[in-house]
Amino acid sequence: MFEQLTDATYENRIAETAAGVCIFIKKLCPHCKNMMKVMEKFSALQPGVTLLSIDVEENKAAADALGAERAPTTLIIKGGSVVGKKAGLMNPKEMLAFYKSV
Amino acid sequence: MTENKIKNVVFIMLDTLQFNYLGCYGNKTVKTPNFDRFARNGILFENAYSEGLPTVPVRRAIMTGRFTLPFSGWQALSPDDTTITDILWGRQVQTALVYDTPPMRLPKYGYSRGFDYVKFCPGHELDHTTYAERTLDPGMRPIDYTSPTMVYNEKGELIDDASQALLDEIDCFLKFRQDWRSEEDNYVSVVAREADRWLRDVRIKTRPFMLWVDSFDPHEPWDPPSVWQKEPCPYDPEWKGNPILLAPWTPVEGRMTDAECEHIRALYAENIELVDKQVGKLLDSIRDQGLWDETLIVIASDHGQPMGEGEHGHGIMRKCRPWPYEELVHVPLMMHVPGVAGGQRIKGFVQNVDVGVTILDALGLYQEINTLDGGHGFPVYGCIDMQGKSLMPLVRGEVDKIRDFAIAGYFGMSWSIITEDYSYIHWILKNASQRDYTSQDNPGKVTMENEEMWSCTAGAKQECPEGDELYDRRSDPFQLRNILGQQPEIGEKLLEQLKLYIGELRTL
Repeated sequence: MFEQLTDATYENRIAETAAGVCIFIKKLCPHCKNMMKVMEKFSALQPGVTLLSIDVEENKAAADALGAERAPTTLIIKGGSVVGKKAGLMNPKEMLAFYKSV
Repeated sequence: MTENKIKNVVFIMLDTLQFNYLGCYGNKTVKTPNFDRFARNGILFENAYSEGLPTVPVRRAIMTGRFTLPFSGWQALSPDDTTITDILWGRQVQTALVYDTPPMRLPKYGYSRGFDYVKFCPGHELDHTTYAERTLDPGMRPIDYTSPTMVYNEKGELIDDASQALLDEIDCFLKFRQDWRSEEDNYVSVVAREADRWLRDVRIKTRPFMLWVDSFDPHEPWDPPSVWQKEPCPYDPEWKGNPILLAPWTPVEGRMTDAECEHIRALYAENIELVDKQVGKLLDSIRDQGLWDETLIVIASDHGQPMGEGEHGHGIMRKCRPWPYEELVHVPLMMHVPGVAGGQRIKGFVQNVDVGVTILDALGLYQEINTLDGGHGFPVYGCIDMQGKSLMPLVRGEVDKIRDFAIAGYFGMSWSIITEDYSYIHWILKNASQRDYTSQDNPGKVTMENEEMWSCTAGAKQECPEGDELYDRRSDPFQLRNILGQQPEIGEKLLEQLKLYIGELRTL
């Protein structure tokens, strides 16, 4: 369900995304796995949103550029720009509220 | 089949009924024949734990079927919460709340929300100031109802602010109680009587019902019949001091003697005897009215009570510290389930958050829907936000257990995990630099900022011990010997497991 971005591809991919969420994750992080489940439930509540992910350990340039200091960090992308960023956990309802608020 | 046998639910919540004060939980002294009979003929859960303490979060968890510990503590119900009464609205099942638990009725808290019938019985703690302006019988002086040494020092001065507050509080209680003439006027007697009155005279007899009886007894004040009859307390007849209606909400050291703590526990035990008697009468009435075989009856408590040293309270009196020790968080939970053979003692972990879900499931109304239009143009609510698990498969023997462990704690201040072998307590306030994921930012301080009140106890302080604690649960269930120094790896694993579970709950 998630399209994985890298240091090489993230900039262009975000720029061409009209509506999306991008999550910074670490491979072995259980909190990240839970957040990905949250994203999937969220996308059922808000169809048409592209789901993107970036491995923060393998893509430090992307993480730095986008200000992701921890995993999980969630970005909201609208009209090709990052309009919101939150670190930590939330549930699908909070995710939906966050998406709508930015 | 058994599935259709349950038409009604009676949920009896007793505040501060400590599990190990009941005969059916092993106590050899306190007389609880009615609870014991109920457990013998029904289902008793040996390892039930309340997840978020104290009073208000416990009830919110039951009403919403959601854990509170990752989210918030002593808070009102919000419009975003979906409660069992919200879900039962527009259904055949009529709902009633008969209660005297004042925290549920705090201004703007809304815990009586959605019940078809609500009866609040006044005067218990946090509703005591309602009576402050009455004139008190001159023969009743507050200082006669507590130990003078808890209030005055050797020079006859008040020891601290807690002293005067204590006397003022006792004064209010006396102003209410001066009208009591017999044990039938005690708080629990009134609640039980009002609940029975609803059952016999008020409810619509052609519809199923869900009755929630919430008795604040045996929560302090410690006011069993012997205090008013001016007789020795049957559980401490040699006591020569004053009755102790209330004690300061402080650590006991230097303030209360062992004998005083023991007497408090004796008064508390006598209160439990009265609670048992009155609940017994209510149960008998349910049977008498022909409702026994079609009604799920759940008896539970929200927490125990720290009352002294060691296993009695780890050195504090009343819930004046956010410490989730066994005597507080391990709770009694018993059920009578029509269609299910009684005499079961279930060992698997269950939590208070499972009770609300169970009530709906038993009524056949656990549906994972959440539609805005039930077909008639108004909202219909379902259980889609619930995190608790129904206990019905467990009591019906369809599964062996529903949880591998339990959690307990005070939001923003302390978390603990309880497994069969160990219990581990993590102090959030002290370790706020760890990534505890209770909020986006600093876990302990920020999340507590909006909670002016987190305990019913006025002098409560947010003080926690220095370091985390690990206990061998089989040999030390009441957590008296911290073994974290000797087994740090086990502690580390449990802390990890605890954080992951809280994190997981945070995402549901």
